Amino acid sequence: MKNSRHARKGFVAALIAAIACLVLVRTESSAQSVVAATQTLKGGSSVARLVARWPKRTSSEVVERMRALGNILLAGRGAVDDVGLQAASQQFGPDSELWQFENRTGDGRSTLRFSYHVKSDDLRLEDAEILGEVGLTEIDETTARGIMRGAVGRLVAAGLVRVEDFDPASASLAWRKVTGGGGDESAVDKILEYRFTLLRQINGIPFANAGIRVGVHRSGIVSSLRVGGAEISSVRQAGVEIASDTRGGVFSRKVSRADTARRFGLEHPNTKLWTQALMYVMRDDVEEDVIEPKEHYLFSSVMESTDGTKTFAPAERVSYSTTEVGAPVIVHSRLVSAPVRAPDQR
Amino acid sequence: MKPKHLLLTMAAIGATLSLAEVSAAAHSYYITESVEYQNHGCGNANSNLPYYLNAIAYSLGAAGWTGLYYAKDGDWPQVYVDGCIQSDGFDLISDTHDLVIEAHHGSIGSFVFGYPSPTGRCSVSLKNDMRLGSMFGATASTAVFASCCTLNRNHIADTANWQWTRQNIGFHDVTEFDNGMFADWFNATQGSSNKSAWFGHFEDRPGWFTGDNSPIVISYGTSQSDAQNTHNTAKLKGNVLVSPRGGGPTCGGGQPYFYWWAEWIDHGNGGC
Repeated sequence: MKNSRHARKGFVAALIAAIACLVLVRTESSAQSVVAATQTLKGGSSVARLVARWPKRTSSEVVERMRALGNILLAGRGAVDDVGLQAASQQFGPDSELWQFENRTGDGRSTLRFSYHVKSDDLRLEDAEILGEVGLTEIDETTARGIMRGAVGRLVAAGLVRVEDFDPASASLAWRKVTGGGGDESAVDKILEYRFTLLRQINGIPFANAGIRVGVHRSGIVSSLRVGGAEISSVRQAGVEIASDTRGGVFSRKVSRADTARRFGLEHPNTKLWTQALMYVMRDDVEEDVIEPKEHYLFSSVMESTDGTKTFAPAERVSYSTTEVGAPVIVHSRLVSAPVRAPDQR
Repeated sequence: MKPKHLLLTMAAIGATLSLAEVSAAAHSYYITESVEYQNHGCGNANSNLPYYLNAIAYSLGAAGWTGLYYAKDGDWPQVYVDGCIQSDGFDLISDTHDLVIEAHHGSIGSFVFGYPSPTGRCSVSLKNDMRLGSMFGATASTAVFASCCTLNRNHIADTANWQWTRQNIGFHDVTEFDNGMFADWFNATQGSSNKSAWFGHFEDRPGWFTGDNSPIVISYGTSQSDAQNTHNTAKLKGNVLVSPRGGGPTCGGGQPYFYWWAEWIDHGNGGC
């Protein structure tokens, strides 16, 4: 029996390797690709390189996605105003960089705030009335996670996301909180909304430029939703995601996390590290990118002022290759998406 | 104060006042930012960041607002300091505008400039130095502190609440921007509240889903419901609650009783 299971595992591994060999055109060598593809791609000694791009949608597609997202959020508490959606479509259209409008449900009980960032296919929605309600009983995190999983299931059922792209168990949690009071009296923080972020997963490694965010109000109602981001050209074989584009491939990991950390420390002394993670990340200024997992750092320069206070600069992002020793660091640039004005002169 | 600085300061005050007289119905802004911290007298940091606020200055102008936008050595610490409480203060330059925005290196309750004032000042403390919306000037209704940690939630009572603005807007911990985010935020306040637009535009950079920033908005009023009403309805571009809050402390007077309401998204980076 045990031998039989081993035999099946061996067969599956061999099958994955064979499929990978057929799909991967640009690999280091066919022998290496066989080795790489038979190893786990999930943060192991090999990594998948794939092509990511920002999707382009027609106005009618955007409206359809808004309607679906709205109805998932409302969950029977009303219906999205179709006339309002169509009016928004006319007002904004595909040439707008940002759609942003409110949609009142037919029964008038909910105001849905829609926004859609066209370039990044980033669709967001929140229920203004629910998020203004601070007095209801607070559910616990476990309950909120269960509600989040239900919402993700409905997003999958509606075709807004694919089930294989996300892992609810890896959702990170943030909170929308409120507090207040009179004068300098102490005030108690309240959780207004649990905010779960699910980044698109590629063989267990997160992709920073696509995801889901589910907000669960303290009352247990889904209060905000966000879906979208870049798309990946890939195929899945036996649970392993590999490139469907000839620019992709599987490569050996050649730079350890420790080596990257040493390099970061040398290149960015005297910094505060906010987060560090192995992630897929697109460069900011491209429509399409060949991506592979990189060691990613979000950090601020630290300056000690003359009075001894440590201050932090706005954060910067850099990524280091895991497949090429000494490869140039990628600095994630700051987009300039609006006209600029020169400073005044004193 | 050096004669050149004094003359320039006087000229700036004159320009500001005449601006206010000419366009009494319009709104105005005062924006400054520092990105140059390379041994100009206020320390040295190895960051190489772009300017972030020039796009919102452009958008404000396009929407009919008037105002001033300074950077580099034109970004002076003393103009954020209220002359009523500090002898080197000159906030008649900043606190004579409806909207004040700063972007600097930050820490809890303060921010630091790239170039020192004539008296050697490099930093400004919200508690010890600033009184936006009250005392001298007494005009600013909305303040944006676009510096790391400056509006850290754990210190609201001892930092932000010393201002007499309608809203203080900023970050609980880390800040990460691109240039277009501020302009997008302002433009969104035509239809959305300042608060909703701030959370919508500053939790992530465009195209990112990682949720690194922890944006925060603190609103004020004469009662708890008044503070919450300001929180939910104030719109800069939509011209809702842009006027001065009024009724604040005068020079030498104590701070009247007030109510506040804060909302923030906490991604837990902390570490301020």
